[in-house]
Amino acid sequence: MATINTINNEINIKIVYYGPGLSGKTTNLRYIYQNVPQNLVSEMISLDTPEERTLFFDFLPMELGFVHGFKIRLLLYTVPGQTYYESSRKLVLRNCDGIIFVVDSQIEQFEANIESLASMKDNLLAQGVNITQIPWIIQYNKRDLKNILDIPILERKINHFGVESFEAVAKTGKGVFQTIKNISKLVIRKLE
Amino acid sequence: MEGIHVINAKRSEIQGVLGSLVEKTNSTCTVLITEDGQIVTWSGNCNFINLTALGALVAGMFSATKEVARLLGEKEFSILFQQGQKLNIQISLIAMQMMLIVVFEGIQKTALIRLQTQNHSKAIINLFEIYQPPIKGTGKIKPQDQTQKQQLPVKKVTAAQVNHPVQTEEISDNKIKKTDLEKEATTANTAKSPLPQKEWISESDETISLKERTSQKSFSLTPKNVESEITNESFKNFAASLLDDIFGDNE
Repeated sequence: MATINTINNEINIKIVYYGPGLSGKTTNLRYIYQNVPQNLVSEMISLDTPEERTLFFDFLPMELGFVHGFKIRLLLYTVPGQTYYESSRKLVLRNCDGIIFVVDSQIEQFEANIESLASMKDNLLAQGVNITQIPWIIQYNKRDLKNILDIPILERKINHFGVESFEAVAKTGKGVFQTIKNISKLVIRKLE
Repeated sequence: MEGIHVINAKRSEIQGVLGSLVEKTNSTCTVLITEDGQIVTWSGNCNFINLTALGALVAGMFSATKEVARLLGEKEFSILFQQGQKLNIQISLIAMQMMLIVVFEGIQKTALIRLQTQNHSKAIINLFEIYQPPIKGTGKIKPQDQTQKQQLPVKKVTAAQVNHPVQTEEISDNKIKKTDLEKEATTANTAKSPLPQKEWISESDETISLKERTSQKSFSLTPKNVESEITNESFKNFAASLLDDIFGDNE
């Protein structure tokens, strides 16, 4: 749910990057951090291991502008992808307004994508939220690699709910802004 | 889940409670956050702390501790304490919905901090007690008695206040964690020109006024009208235009 804080005059919208380990969630966030105007972001918090695997979460707060003196902020989070960090994923998903599910397009990662999507559905359900109730979109990442599945196959096997999907190469930034922009618009459109 | 959660209390009252806690414990600062890490408000000297990051990290820390409690057969641990060389931090869970952080020097004050935190927590609960827990399925919090609490005083905000909120400066000037990559990113960012921030003002004729925030403005503000404003189409179109400004031409 979007949060209006009348004490600090803020409207916060929480977006979560979800997906299997090493699918590129943190890379998305880093690209955003490095490429949006500097006055909109203060700092990116990244809690990762020496192998660059997200330990707890990454966090990037971002200011969009003001409405009636209220600061509108996007709070961007990633979840740790490894299966044994289920508790962290549950925490990060709490009270989120929208989700970007980052798919690793590589053939050998197909099963990991399926498992991660199932875990996302389960973790949402644990909070009383059906996956059809919350705005979410899919980003097919790593489209620059050779051993990847074709988009029609990924759409058929993963996008059962017919949500919006985008191709991306997060390390170069391709599709990164398009993805965050579209989920943000989707969330805002659904505010009620 | 796409509902709206309104955090509302009179700023002066809640800050009065936090200020009293700072004074009675001679602590450095106190910060009140929601269970998912959003900053509600604070008191004392927080200039050296990135509060946004602190909130997110403390929420994560508390959640991890909750899992530890669960492993031990406890429902939760209601207090967390971290001891540093100079500064210490105590985090207390309040009414299962908020967390009160106290940053203080001097380990010998731990008992005093704990006692005073308990006392002041009750006052905080009282200030927020008009709100019910989120309604399952919508995530919405509804005031029980809107007639009593929704009319906040009319605020006059100068351009200087709007353009340079104290909180924003405090946060951006202090960084608690910086990886090498982020240092590089900061360097890279310095080359980019800042984006002028825009403000949306709903006019009486329902048209959108999109303008640079340069002039002095005053406005009437209540939780109710903000909620209704951000759910109307004009606001949504304005927010979409902000997103286009930021992300539109950078592919």
